[in-house]
Amino acid sequence: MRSNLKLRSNVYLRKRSVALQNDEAFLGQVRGESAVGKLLGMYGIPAGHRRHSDSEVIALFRQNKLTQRQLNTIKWELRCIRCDCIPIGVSFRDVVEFRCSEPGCAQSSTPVRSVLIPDSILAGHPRTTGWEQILSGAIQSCRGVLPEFSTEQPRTRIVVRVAPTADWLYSDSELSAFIVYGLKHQD
Amino acid sequence: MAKHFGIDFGTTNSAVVVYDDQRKSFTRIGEKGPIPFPSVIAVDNLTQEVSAGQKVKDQIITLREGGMHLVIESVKTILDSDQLWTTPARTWRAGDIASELFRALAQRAEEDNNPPLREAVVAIPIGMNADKRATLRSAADSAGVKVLSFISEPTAAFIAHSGELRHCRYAVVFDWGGGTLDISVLEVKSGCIIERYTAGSPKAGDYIDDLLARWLHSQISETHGLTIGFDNVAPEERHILLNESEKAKRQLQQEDATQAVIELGRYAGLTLVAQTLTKATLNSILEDVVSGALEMLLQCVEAARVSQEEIGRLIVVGGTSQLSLLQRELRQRWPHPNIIFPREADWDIARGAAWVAAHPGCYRMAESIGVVLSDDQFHAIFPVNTKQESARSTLHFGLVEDATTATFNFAARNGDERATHIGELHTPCFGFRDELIELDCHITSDLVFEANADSEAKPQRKRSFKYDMLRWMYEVPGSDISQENP
Repeated sequence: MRSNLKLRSNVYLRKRSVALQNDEAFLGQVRGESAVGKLLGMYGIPAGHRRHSDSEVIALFRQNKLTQRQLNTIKWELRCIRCDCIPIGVSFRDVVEFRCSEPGCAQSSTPVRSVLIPDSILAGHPRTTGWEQILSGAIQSCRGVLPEFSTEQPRTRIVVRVAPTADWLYSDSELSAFIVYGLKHQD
Repeated sequence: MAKHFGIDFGTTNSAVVVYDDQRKSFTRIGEKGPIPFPSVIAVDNLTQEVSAGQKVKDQIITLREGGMHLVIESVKTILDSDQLWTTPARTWRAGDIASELFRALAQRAEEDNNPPLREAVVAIPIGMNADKRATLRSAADSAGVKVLSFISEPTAAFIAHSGELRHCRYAVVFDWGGGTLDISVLEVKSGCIIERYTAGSPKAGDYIDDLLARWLHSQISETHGLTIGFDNVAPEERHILLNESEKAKRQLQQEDATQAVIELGRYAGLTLVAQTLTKATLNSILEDVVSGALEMLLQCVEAARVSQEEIGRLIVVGGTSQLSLLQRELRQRWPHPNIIFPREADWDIARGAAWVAAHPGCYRMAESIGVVLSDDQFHAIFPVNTKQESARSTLHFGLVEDATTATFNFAARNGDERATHIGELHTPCFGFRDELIELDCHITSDLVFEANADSEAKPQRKRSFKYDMLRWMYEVPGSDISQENP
């Protein structure tokens, strides 16, 4: 029986004469939350500003000093500040879950986002509360896969509480797409 | 130096050939004319005197039974073992025994008025691991014989017949000796001999002797009503039967021989036992083994992705290839008139080695060896065609993860094929930081790829990786051996 495990190499060629911060080919290979964190530190990003959505991080990405994979690493591998585990990940049910068991985990405090919804959709489904149930139901039924965006105008801003997982994973327009899907497929 | 030595250090027999540069001639150094030197030694427990070769083989039972000697055979197969033998004065390792054999071969060469055997090219079987090669080199060195280079046995056999192979692109060497059957499909490309495909089997001369001895035992048991099994017969009596089986086998290879009589002084409680073995019976006993060997030959050619028509020559060497049944079956199942049955099959490998000693070529890599990087890309350290003696390279790496161990995955790649994983090397590091890891790689004279990884931050933690199964091609110098054969 053939093994289905593979021991992956974790080394890449370095140019001896080139300083680490200038060895672009090598730096593009850096992987894992801890190493990418150190990489951000090397670029002078303070510890509190290393979220994927922080402007300093986005600026590095635009300057090609950070690859898409490294950006994703920050997105996915954020540690709980209390138990040091990585609480966001894909569960065996194939959905992204927030799994930190610490009751006071800083990541578990429910964030609030404001998103734009087309007026035509809102007119068909007038309601002012329960947006979080519509959003989580839509994410679950889409299994996390983004539904179609709607760019229809005019749009109205609504405020919605979102689970930490969704907060880390989705942009405002993506959350809007899920809510639109949820509203269209209610009942 | 006008005389050059080649040694075929065999499991059962060893052969030494001297090539005279001035006379352009080869001389065999063995026992009693055309017989190679038996690879067996005996150490006297009292005097520590060492004897070797035919005289030990002739008295092997007496020496063993006498209890005054340490007798060791087939040391080549256990060169990498930790086995120890003790005599009252000292402990012997496999390397010490091999060294005594080299010493005996050197002495035998001097007895024939040759210059002292101080350096030689030594033929080794394909697949002989790095530890065995190192032990063999060091054993020769202790006996005062410097190994100029190793040459693989099929390549040596090929070189010995290079005159007849001048226009061949492919050739097969069928080497059936005492210990193993080795089949190699060789390709000649740009002056290099490449081992394109090789296969081996332990069913060789010793296995055949065992088959014969078991058959003889069954016949004796039937005639005399013996109930004891072959494996329960006293070891020395079993050994006598094995020796007599081998003699009978050889005797029945003569064209006019029809039967051989095996006479035993005592066997399993019986005295004066005689058993007849006819040529027809011998052939029926050997039918399966020979058929298996030929099947392996055909499979080997197929696996090398070469058609039989493309094979320029089939060279049949080794003591067991003298079996008349093999020669007959081979002519039937290999329907091409390109088989070479050398007259001196036992000496061809040593002859090729001696020629290489006089006309040294060089080894070039027949496949690339490299490291798989963190992005799963193969980076060749030594590409195809790299010469063994110039294969030295120092590379620098960095750790792409915040781990405390750097993992180097080594791989070999043949042409455009996918790289095949051959092993890994782990070396301690401090994690992701400005830490250079130096990978120093070279290929030893024993044809072993060696890589030493060393973090500049933890220089005392050097780790090594060795790989001894690389594929090689041997670059033959221009001279033509066929012009120089006696």
